[in-house]
Amino acid sequence: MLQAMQHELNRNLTALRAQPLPPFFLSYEVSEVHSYTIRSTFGAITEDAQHRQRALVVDLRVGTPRLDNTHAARSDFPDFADVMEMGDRSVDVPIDDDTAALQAVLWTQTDRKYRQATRHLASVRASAAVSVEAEDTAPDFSAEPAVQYADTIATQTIDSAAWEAKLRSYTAPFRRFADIYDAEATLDAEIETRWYVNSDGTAIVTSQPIDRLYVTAYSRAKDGMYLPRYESFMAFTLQGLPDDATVLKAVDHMIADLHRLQAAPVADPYTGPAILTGRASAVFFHEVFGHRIEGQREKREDEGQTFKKAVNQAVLPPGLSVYSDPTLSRLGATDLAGFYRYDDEGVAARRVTVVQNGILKNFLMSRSPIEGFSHSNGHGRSQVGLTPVARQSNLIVEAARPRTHAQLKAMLIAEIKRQHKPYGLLFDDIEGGFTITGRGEPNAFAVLPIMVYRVYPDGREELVRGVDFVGTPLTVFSRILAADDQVAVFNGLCGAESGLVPVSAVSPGVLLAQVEVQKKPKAADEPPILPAPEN
Amino acid sequence: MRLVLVLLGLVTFVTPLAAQNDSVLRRAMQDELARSMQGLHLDTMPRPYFIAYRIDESDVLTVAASRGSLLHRNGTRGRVLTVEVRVGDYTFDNTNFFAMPTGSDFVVLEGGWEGRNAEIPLDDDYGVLRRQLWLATDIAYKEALEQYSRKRAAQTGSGHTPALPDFSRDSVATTTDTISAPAPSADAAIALARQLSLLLRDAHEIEQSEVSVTAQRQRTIYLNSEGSSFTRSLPNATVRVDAVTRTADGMPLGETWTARAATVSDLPSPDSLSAATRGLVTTLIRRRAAVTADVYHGPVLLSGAAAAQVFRSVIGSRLIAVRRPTSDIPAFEAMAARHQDPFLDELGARVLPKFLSVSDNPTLTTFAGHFVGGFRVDDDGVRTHETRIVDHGILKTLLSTRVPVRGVPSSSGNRHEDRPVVSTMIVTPDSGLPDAALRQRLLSLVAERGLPYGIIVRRVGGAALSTMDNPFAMMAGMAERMQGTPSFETSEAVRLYPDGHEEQIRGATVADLSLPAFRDIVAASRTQTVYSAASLIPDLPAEVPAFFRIRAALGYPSTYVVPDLLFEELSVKPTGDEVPPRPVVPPPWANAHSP
Repeated sequence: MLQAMQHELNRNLTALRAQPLPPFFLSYEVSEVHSYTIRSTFGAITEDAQHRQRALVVDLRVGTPRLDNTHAARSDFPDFADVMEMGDRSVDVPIDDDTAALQAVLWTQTDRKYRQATRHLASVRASAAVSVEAEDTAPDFSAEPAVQYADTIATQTIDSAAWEAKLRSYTAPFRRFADIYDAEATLDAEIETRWYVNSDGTAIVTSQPIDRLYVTAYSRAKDGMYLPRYESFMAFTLQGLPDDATVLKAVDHMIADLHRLQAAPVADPYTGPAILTGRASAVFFHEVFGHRIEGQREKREDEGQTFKKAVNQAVLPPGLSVYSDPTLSRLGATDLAGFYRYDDEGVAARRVTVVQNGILKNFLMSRSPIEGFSHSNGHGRSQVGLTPVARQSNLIVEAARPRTHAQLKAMLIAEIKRQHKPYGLLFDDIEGGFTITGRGEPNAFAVLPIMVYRVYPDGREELVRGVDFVGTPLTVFSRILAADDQVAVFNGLCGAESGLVPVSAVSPGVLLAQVEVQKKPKAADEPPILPAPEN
Repeated sequence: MRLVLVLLGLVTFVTPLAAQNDSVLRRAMQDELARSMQGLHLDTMPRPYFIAYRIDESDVLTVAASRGSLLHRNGTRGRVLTVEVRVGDYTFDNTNFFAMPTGSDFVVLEGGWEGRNAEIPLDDDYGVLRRQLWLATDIAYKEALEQYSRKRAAQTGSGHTPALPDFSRDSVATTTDTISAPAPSADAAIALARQLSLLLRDAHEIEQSEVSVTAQRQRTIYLNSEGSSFTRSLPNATVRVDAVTRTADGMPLGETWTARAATVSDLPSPDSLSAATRGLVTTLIRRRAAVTADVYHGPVLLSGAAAAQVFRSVIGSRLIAVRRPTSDIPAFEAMAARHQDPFLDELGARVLPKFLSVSDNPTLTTFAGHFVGGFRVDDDGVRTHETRIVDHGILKTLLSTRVPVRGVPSSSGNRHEDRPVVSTMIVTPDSGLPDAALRQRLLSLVAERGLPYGIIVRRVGGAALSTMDNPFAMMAGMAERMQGTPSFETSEAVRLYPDGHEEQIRGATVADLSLPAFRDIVAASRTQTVYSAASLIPDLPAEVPAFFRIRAALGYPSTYVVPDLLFEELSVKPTGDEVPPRPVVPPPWANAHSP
């Protein structure tokens, strides 16, 4: 495979170099996703499907590394031809290892990309000639060393009958409850294999299984409020997924939580102190902090550039450090979803210290440099078939002086009293979150909690429902008071311009002097009219 | 790398759908339907007067190959439930009404329910099926109540009395219409796709090519509160060949060829499929030599597939009775009025020349040796029959469901999913001309007009593979169709000279082919072409959930049987698309095979 790709790359490059506008860089990435999905609902199988597909992404650059065809042309309107070509950014390539058939696709796609690149460069140059100087004058493309690496191709054997039986058993317990309206368990067993070559001489094969098991269920409160619960598990091998007893225990826990949530009072909008437990805090750091240290967010002129001028300045309280480490495959007993050896631009993954003792040191970099950061640090990532940008991997938050959870709670109560608040909040489980980093809209975030407790000055905890944690990044970072020693891992899929990529966030629980919560959007649906049919 | 193939061997299609007993599904449907009809009501609101459950079960296999190599193989099995709940009565109910969606309509989606559609288990588990039916019926009933009250309010406000009933009373039918078929064999489909795609690899003029094979078994189980019920099972297999070549000046020329049958093994023999694939290559290579088109106004003969393609697009696919909904939004009503089907309210009008008649016949399973699918009962549970739509040029009726439109009070048995579909539509001339006579007729029209040549169009549209290179043409085409004056880019057209010789042209478009042009058709051939419109299941990316894959695979592939049609006056114009430059780099196979 690699040889055929290299051969075709050289052949195309040799011919194109004789053109008036020769490419200075060309890369091919063929990625294969081989996925197996089995799903059940209430103890019955709804899906058992397997897919295997390979996609090709060609990166072809004309112009110079300083100003090339990928440079954001300053126009209010996207190039119409590009919008229409979104659909063929990646094309299917044969899943057989048939080099002649592969080369035919490489040739067709290189031609298409070359035509597109020359068209883009013309508009980039025109735009550069009439625009004011950019806020960030870094070049468009960095030089990186050539690397060679080859994984053996991973395989997974899935006993579909056994897994169907497991998945049936995971959702069967929900059947006993008429007030749980949907319950699903899904196994996504996937192998992602990538073959990458570029004109620098880099040639890489990586092959990584990633297996996910998730259970979702929802109920409704009497007032119609939608009440979901999620549990997810991730491992690099099927054997690494939890055993049946562990999953069934989580299912029982979900059922109990759903019933507790039904009975829980609706929380009011509130500001005051709060604790985020490890998992909640991990999502919080991923959304609010992690996205803002992705290099291109400090470069593009439509981005908020939150930290552009903050290098070597305090951005978090002293004692907190943050690093991004894609080379870490495990933490304790947990596999980390953000692990990889080489990024999708053929650059070796490496640990990046982003914040040291509260001081911002570095950004997550792809091959798109920003001022002061002229090289990639192996964070150019994308979903299969999309163009890579700087993305998170394993984001790890460390506290220099961790407290115990009890100490953190005591600090929360002290803070409640100091602020004369009737109660504080504790965010335990979350379903995810989102953030806006662009300009023209409030640069805000939301973390969507499922399990939220009011903590009263006497230490009593009361489950409430129906609120989201919202805020703006710079304000909220300044309110972090302390962290505990209960480090938790959140493995998930992160969606951004280069698609969905697996990431981890690892964080201790943190205490914030002030958070703001707003009401969740509410459904008006009443519970079903007829009682559940008898089974 | 070969190790990966071990994993692929795990794809099995273990459940033979047609052989499977539907008793558990049916019992769950019956029990929940009875309970809902009896007990489902909210406060003082009306009870349902009609409930129907339809379960579409599909087992779809799609494979594709290029240059002898497999592009993908995907197998999907799934079941989708559709619930129809009507409140009010046959005269006035919750349907045929469009209300501005409110916030709460969207929130329902959070729970994974697609409104009245739901994915249901593959396992025949009575308890789970009952539970899914219960929840889907509850949602459908509440939606129906909301629509009903909003429709009442809108009607009271406007003071209009509805002229048409909302739902027709059709006879109760209990039918079984099943063709048993073996589970689609991936191995056979892959072997066929590889074999045909190798033939395209060996033709060096072909730059891009793809062969897809799909095999599908679909079973529908239906039950309604009037007592109608059916089980219907239809297999369907398609092979499709796409190829693109390029002229010396860089213009891409694409073509598609398809064949259909009940199953992969019923497709034409490998030898005849190979011959057809080679024929496609020969056709494409011949077209490279074509001269570019000039502006032409005069007689045009639409021949073979072109006649069927154009008839389908301008007339055939619109001979259906789709009720224009009322609304509480005046702007919506105005928009719906502008975009309504041109044949509504045209009953009794002449739409074709007197010598042409059109009928649709869902009961046909083959036509002149071609597999056409067909169904004996439609998605309303109505038994199907032949419908004469156009009689000697006069529009008599439209293909319909149980939703009446003016002049079409009852169902023709053509419902598929939520609208009427064309099954097998046959255009019959009273006295068609032999091919040679039709050519002669064209030449005599040419002579009358004093033109140097006439034009015969044999195929319109290109290959799917090449259209993505020209998004602008695609967009323009969509806009024209909305305006009712569609244009058709020809893929095969010739000039016919008075001495009888033909000259191939390329880059030609039959422009502004509107409805009135069809009334002025001067002659038709005796022979008819059998053409299946969209018969390939869309190849969705791997991450698309099964629910949407199954839904996408449910579309009905209509067939059109149309004679050659001679138009007295049409315009053929150069397409005028920008021709992309020829690739700088020669194809990878060039060095290996040429000096």
